[in-house]
Amino acid sequence: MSWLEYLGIGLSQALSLSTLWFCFLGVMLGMIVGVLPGIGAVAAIALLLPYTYELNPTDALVMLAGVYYGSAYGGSIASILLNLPGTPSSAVACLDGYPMAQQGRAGVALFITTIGSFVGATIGILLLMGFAPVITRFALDFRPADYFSMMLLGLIAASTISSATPLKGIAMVILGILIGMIGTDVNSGTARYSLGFHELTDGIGIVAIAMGLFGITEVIASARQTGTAQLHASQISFRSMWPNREDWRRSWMPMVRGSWIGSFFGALPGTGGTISAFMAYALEKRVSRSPERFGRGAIEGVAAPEAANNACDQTAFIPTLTLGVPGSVTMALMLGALMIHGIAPGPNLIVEKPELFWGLIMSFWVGNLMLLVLNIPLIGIWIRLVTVPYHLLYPAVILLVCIGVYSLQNSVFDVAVALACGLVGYLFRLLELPPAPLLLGFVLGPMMEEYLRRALVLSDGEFSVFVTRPVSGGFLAVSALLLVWAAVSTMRRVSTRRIA
Amino acid sequence: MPEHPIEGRKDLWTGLFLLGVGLVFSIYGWREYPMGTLADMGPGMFPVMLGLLLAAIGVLILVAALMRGQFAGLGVDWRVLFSITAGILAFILTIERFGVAVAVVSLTVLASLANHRLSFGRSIVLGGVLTIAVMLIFVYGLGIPVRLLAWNLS
Repeated sequence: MSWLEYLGIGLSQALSLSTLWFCFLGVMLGMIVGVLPGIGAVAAIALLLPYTYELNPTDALVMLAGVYYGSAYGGSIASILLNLPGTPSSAVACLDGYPMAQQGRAGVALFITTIGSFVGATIGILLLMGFAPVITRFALDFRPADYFSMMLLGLIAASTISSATPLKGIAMVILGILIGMIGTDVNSGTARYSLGFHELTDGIGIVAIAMGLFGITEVIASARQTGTAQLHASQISFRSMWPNREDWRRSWMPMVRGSWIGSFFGALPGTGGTISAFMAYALEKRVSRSPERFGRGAIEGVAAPEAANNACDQTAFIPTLTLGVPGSVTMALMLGALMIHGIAPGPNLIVEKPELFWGLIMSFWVGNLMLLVLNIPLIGIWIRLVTVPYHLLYPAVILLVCIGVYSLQNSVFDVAVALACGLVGYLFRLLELPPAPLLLGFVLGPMMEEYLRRALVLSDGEFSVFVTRPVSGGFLAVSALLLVWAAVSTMRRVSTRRIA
Repeated sequence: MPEHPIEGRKDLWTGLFLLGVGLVFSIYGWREYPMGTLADMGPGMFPVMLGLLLAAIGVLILVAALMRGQFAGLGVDWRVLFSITAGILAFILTIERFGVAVAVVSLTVLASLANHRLSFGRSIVLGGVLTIAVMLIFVYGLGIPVRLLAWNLS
């Protein structure tokens, strides 16, 4: 099958009526979720998971993905207008976006973030289209030992790179894997850790955990917060949005640079939109001829991070779709959605389901175009949304969680499980334990155990197979390096604290 | 006086928690499930090993916290915790017995106790609005089999 034929399949799938509709639904929901401070893409995707059961897998993924990258467009609106990020990765946009709003240039800032987001997404999608088939071809030769080591690397990277305390990140991964063990062990048929609850013999559902850990916990942690900050620009006319020549000249290179940075960090497990955005900002400040403008309304400080976080959202699909290794919580949820539909993620996905793979990728083009076109005319709606007070919002969020989880199997037990996860999640937050690695461990753990056992059976119990196979050995070596680096930086921090 | 960093002051609890959970998983697994050998792993091997690893990390964090010597309490926000838990429990107990209206309103009223901005009267109104929304979107739109009002004490 030639490359062009694949694009054709993908395009015809993406432009089919049902997929188009779900793409639109997804990106609109994504925008709303991005604009509203207090709900992020993670919670939204977790909330939508149960409702995607009825859909065909392509439509389900297209919609969820739309929520994901759509939220990156909306998040900066709150940052610019309220100095309050709508999504974590839009936090950087506050630094120069809010000052721009204070100077009466909110419209320009909003416009440039939209353009920057689109540019970032474009470059990200192109890289995705280019690299995905290459990586998949390489990965098709993987054996169980290689898969195990690859997933191990993914987990270690995800838990150590962006965590303040890598040790806690690793602990949470392990805890996640352990929770994933609850249920029936495939090899022996034993029901593990089900404590006599027959509802648990299939394990804890990813929906219940995701909703509880990221939905309920979030609400418990922020329920107290009140009110909305003062809106700096309630009326934004079309005329005021168009940037002048100076703005364009200043923004286009930051957009390109930001896109590359975002693409790089997106493909790496463990790093995501927030880091991409910060790095892009830092880079622009460093290469700028007048860095003192940053923090006071420099348009580069808005264009680059937005391009970065959108590019990141697209390339994050590379490891997820080609290798089946999620680099972040949202990607883990996407994998969860795939598995719910009975599709095994991994290098075989592109071979067995090309219409899903390419249809999804083509839908990214469609979705981003929709966002580009719809963002500007609907700006009034988005602005009004930004001012919804949190104390009206959070009961609705809890309700969505309860109804969503209940509707999976008409079971209140599931809701109770979600509640338990929410309470435990609150405990995690108090203990400063990061929840994201837990979800990654939960999703990958059972598969890793499977591969470990299979690899050992194939090698007759010889553990050396993990290092003698070059691919596996390579992954393990990098994992070991990451662990060493994490240990060293932790010890360095401990000793500087001691000195202080 | 040197600045003590805020991060890590609760690690005493964190370490204890991880140690405890790790031990629970590994001891329970050891006693209940056959371990097998490394070459031919039984259902117990992986969880027990992981549980021990988790417990070990818990010990590391615990020891580091003890050596550091500054401890802080957990800082639980009991009011929020209780109100949201109560709300969700109310939903769980009433959705099948008394229907959507009762479940949604009780969830809303109880959950809004967490935030002082929402008075009792307003929360009932919000509950009513949400009930209507739920009926429209989920029951008529998505076909979830729950009733608006019911009386099932079985």
